[in-house]
Amino acid sequence: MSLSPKNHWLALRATAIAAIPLSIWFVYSIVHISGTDYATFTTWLKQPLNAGLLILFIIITFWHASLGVHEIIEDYMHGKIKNISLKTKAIIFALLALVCVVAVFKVSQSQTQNSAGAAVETPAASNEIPAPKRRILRPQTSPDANEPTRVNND
Amino acid sequence: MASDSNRPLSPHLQVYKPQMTTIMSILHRATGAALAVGALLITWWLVAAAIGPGAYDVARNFAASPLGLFMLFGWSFCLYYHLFNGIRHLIWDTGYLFKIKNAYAAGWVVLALTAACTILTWVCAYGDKA
Repeated sequence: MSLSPKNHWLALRATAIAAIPLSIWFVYSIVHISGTDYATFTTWLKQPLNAGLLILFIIITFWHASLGVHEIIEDYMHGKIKNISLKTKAIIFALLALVCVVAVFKVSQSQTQNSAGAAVETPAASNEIPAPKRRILRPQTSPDANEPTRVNND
Repeated sequence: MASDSNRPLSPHLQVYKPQMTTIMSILHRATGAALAVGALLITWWLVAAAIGPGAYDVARNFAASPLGLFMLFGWSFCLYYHLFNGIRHLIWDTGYLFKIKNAYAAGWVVLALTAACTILTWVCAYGDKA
């Protein structure tokens, strides 16, 4: 997806402007859910607004990053290596964004974990079910249940 | 300098006295590159959540480790710097703040906002823990 210089310039600015509110929302959300457990995070991500904004944040910022790295490669690499690097870079960022969006969809679409958690998990994760299950079953409605589960318990 | 080419040479940066404007310009690109690497960590985090609780806990424990916290702190600094200095660049694109005095003043505003927001973010993240 090599853009003309003019469109590259425009896309870099457009994604930059779009990334301003999305980044502020993202940092706010990270701080909000920092240190919470899996259940709290998935509950947060199951809210359509959060999933939608996260997907938007990923597409906009990964695209912006791809455009920015494009300029760095153009400045420091020349000839054949430059072209190979630009193509590789484009594929990497597109793949990363795709993987992230699929991951967000998977988490947000999965069934509520407390009833049939094992059934909806992927086979790869099946060996990890028993230990965290206690955490999954913890009621999420209690507001103060989130706070003591912060990460410094080790 | 090797002169195996007749192409014009860039100014010799090493004879220039560092200035705030040049340092901030270099830092803008450096923080942008660091944030691009940060995209890998965001991907890890989301993929871990998609795999399941076990994988998510691995990512969470790394984020809470000294190295993880150091990286998160660096990421937050880079994000705020790139965000605020990016706005400074967007204003330049509209034709404003080009007077030397104004470019410097905006640079100081960017640095102050970066420091304030980075500190505020970590106070908010840890404030209710203490």
